[in-house]
This record gives sequence, C-alpha cells and structure tokens, in this order.
Amino acid sequence: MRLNRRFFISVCCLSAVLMIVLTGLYIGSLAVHYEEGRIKRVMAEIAQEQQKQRELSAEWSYLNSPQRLKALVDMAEESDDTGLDHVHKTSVLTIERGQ
Amino acid sequence: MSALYRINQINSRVLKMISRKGEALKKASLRVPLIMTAFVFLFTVVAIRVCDVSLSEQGGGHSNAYVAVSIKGKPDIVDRNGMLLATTLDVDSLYADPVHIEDPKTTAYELKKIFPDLNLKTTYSRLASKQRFAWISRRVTPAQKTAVMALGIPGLDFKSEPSRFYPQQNLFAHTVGYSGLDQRGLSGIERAIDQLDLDASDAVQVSLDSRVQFSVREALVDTVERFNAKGAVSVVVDLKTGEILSSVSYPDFDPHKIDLKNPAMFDQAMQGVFELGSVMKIFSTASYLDHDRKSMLRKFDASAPLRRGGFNIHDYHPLNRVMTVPEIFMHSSNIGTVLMTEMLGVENLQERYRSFGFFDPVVIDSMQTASPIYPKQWRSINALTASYGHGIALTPYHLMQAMTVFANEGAQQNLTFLKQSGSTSRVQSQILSKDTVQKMQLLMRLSTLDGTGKKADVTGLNVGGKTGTAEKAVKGGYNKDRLLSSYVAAFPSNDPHYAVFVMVNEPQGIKETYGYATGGWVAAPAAARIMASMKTLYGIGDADSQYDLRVAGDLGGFLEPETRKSLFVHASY
Repeated sequence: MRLNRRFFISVCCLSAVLMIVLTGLYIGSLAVHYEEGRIKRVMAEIAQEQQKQRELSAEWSYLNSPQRLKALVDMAEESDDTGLDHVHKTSVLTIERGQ
Repeated sequence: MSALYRINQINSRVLKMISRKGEALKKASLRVPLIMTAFVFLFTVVAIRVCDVSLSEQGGGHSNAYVAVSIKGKPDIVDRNGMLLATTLDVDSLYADPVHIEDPKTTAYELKKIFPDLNLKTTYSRLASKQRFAWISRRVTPAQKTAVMALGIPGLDFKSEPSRFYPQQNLFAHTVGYSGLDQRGLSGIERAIDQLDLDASDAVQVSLDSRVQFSVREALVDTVERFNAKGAVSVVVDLKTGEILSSVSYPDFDPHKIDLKNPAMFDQAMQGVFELGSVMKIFSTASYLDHDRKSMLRKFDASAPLRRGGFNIHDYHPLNRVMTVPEIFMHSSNIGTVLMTEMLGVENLQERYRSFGFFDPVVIDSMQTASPIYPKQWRSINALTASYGHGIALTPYHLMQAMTVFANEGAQQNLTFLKQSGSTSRVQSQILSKDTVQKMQLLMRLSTLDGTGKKADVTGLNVGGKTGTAEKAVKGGYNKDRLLSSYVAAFPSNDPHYAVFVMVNEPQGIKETYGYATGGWVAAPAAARIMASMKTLYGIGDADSQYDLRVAGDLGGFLEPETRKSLFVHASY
C-alpha cells in the first residue's frame, strides 16, 4: 500500500510538472503565433511601402525623362511671346577652379 | 440449536464477505497502477502531440511571415546617374469566372468598348466556356479598371500581378530590352540580367546615360527626317573604361507594346551587320603603319583606278596623282589604301583584323552580337576590298571595341553595359604600338581638320575621326543609290576619351548637301551634334589648343603646299 501511495504521488507530481510544461509551451506557442502574425503584417506593410516607393520612383523617372522635358520646353516655347530663346548647348562654358 | 446454527451461518457469511473484500482489495491494488500507467501513456501521447503541433505551427508560421518579401522578383535597372530605366510594379489584370457570366455576348460587346484591341470572337468564346477562370486582358490601366467596375457585371474580377514598367518608354527600347508577362527577359539587358543571380532588392546600375541617349536619339531622328533615310544607328563609348554610354537604333518601339512583326524591333547595333566602308581605313591604315616604322614616308601612285581580281577599284573623290599616307587617309582614297595593303601583305591584314576581333562576335557582359560576315577563303582581292570596308560586314560594336585601342596606348578594352567603379581593369592584349596610336590620332584629327570629316568638328574638342560611305550590296553587285553613310570619332584627339559612331541607312541627298548623301555630309554633322551635347553634359573643358598646330607641323610636310597652307590656317583658329 505504501508503495502504491508513493507511486501515486510521484505520478501526480509528474503529471503536474507535465501540465505546467505543456501549459507553458502552449502559451509560448500562442505568443509566437501572435508575434508571427505581427511580423507578417509588418512585412506586408514593408512590401506595400516598397511598392509605393517603386511607383513613385517610376513616376519621378517618367516625369523627368528627357523626352518629356523636351516636349514641355517645346510647348512653352510655342506659347511664349516674349521672343526670348533658350541657351544653346554650345554657349555653355565650364569655368574650372583656379582660372 | 437453531440459534446457534444461525449464529454460525452469520459468522460464516461475515467471514466469506471479509475474504471477498480482501480479494477485491487485492484486485484493486493491481488495477490502480494499471490505470495510472494508462493515464501516463495517454498524457505522454497528448504531450507529444501538443509539442508537435506547437513546434510545427511555429515553423510554418515563419515561412508564411516572410512570403511578402522573399518572392524573388526582377531587380530594377538604373542608368549611370541613378535614373530608373526599368522596374516591377503591381498591375491589375482582368479575368472572368465564365460560370457567373449571365450574358456572354453583351459582356463581350461591353468589354470591347473599353478594350478596343480585344478580339470579340475570342472574348465571347472565353466568356461562354464552362471553365472557372479565363484571362480577358492583362495589364489594364486604372481608367480601364474603373470602366469595367462601372459595368457592374458579376463574374468579372481583377488580379494583381507584377509587371515590368519602362519609364523612359522607347528611349532605351533596344538596349534595355523588354520582358514577357512572366517577367522573363526576352531581349537586351532585361534578358542578360536573368542569367546573373541577382538579388531583386539591389538595382542593376548600367553604364548608359539617359541624357546622352536622348541627345543621340534626337540627332538621329532629325537626321533620318532631314535625309529621308530608312533608319540610323549610333553607339557612344567611354574608350578608357569600355563603358557603353549610349546605344540607339532608330526606328525604335514602345517596350510595353511588343509586336514581333514590327521591323523596328530589330536592334541594328547588336544584331545588324554592315559593310562599314571607309571607316575601316582607320584599322587598315593603322595595321600598315604598325607593320613598318618607315611606312609613313612612302608615297603611292593613285593617278588611275586599279584593276585587281577582275574588279575596278576607284576613288570617290579622285585626285589622280601620287599621294602620301596622310593624303590617302584625309581624302579617303580607296586606291591608296589598296596599295598600302598590298605592301602590308594579305595575311598580315587578315591577322590584324583577327586581333581587332573582326572575325568573332563581340561578347558584352553576357550578351553576344551578331557574327560578322567575311569571306571564308581569304583571297588577295578579299583583303584588298576589306581594307576599305567592303566584303566584310561588322556590327557597330565591333567597330567601337576596336576603337578602344586609341585610348589605351594600343591595347583593346572590352565593352560593357555595367557601370565600372574604375578599379577593375579589363584591358585585353596589346594590338598596336604607342607610336602607331599617336600617328593615327594625328591622322584622324587631320581628316576632321581638312579632310572628309570637316563637318564633325566641334570647337574645343579636337575631334578626330573618319567618314565612311558604303554602297549596299545587292544581287550581282552594289547599288550606288542605296548608301550606308557613317562617321566614327574619337575625342579629344590628343588623349581620346570618348568615341561616337553614327551610321545612317539609305539617306537621300538634299539641296543643302548638293545632292550628296555621303558620310561627311550626313553622319558627320549628326556626330558633331552629339559631341557638342556631351561637351556640355560632361563639362568637358577645351582640349589642348596647341594640338592642331602639332598636327599641322608633323603632317604638313606630307601634304601639297596649298593643303598645308589651309591646314595651318585651320590649326591657328
């Protein structure tokens, strides 16, 4: 009988420890799951921001493309009645330092 | 008696009960450990399962968490100044779930109004099918998406998918190339970068300069329109590093609208092989000068056309007299060049051309140009015609790679489309001696100062170059009315840094050029315009002003008195 009681107590203790460990593991896994969800959301946000960034840089590149700027200059020249002309590329000089 | 009997009976019953209880207790003491063992076993199973579920969820969660950024896309392409040339954007594509389309015919008609390119018959058959998914239109614009949503037809929906976008549109159509709907590169740099294991987050910085590219394209468009030509091609190279700054093949196309039947999609710079005409005299003359140190002192009789191998060889602007090497070069004499080549030797010219790389495709990074066309059996007549650029067809890149020898003391530089940091040396073997390179620099400057390439001169740049006018090969000979007019320049001549090549396909002579459509009249002015732009863009200061006097001083003795006088006058300005 004494043996049985010892066995019973040890099994109970083991079970309690096991329960605590398992509960800890479960809570841990829940926390990890939650954090993963948060990481997923942050990653999605980063991807969205990167996409926006790419869109903006594509737009910037398009707006600053030499072809478009030339077309705008031509359009401005057509509507300009001041008689002023733009500087010709051969008229541009480079002044080097020390000269 | 009876009482005693009953007592005995009761006693015996009690004893029986006691013995039964003892047996039961014995049995129970055996069952408890068994039950406990069973529970322990079950708990262990549950524990193992809980561990398994927890751990496996954790692993799975991690892989999902990084999906958003771990999808391997295509890297952006930027020019040497960071200007975006190609990127990947999420674009909506229209699809249908045909099962939910109630009236396929009306739907097809309504969609046709929004997407004019849509094939009505195909769309109807897709909408009327019993499938659960059918693409209607890929890469729709936001306006088209709004219009489709306004229709309010159930069964139509949008799917977002990555697509390549080229903000510079047709400016880099051939060079940057284009990708298919699956983002796989189909031509140009877009195709080349697929072969490199690159991280999508790092942009590929190419050597191209969008400002120079635009200037080049403008010059070509105007030249093609002015001379009513079929097209034009131009390549600009940094001779010191081998970086390709610009490559334009005109007509071009919009890389967002691919039509393989469109002839404008042919890249003349990479895939086109041409008989380049007299620009090849740069290399035959250099080969001749490099062969013999006293070669500059010789004179050649160009007083009459030559008859070689059944062909008549004559000059475009015949002087009909004995000519020196500088005169042959500046007046672009075919007769003189052929006589120089005969002195050099057929095998020697062949060997020189081989070392310049004229017999193999040019490999630029992981791209390869078209193979040159040349006679398999190199007979004497082949060498003679090849010396003035006929009978051998090359791509513009062959020419530009060979031009690098004039900026690297006779050693050839590999061409590249990738921006170089400056620390990596990619110089190939020595081809010409330094002395020959200096002589050729003088000769090319002479040709621009007082020869066929006068119209390519730009104040302050000391442009040196050579014109070329090749008749196009047709069945049974050459057609005089179908020309390839070209000009190649290296500047500044005293220390070449950049090279510009311009070739115009079938230009027509105009009144201002007195009906001429030669390289000097057509391609040289276009090259001058490009070089003037580069002078401003790169802030290139005025080149050595004494160099022209040196040209006149060193080469004046080889020229006729009148030409010498004219040269000194030009050199003094």
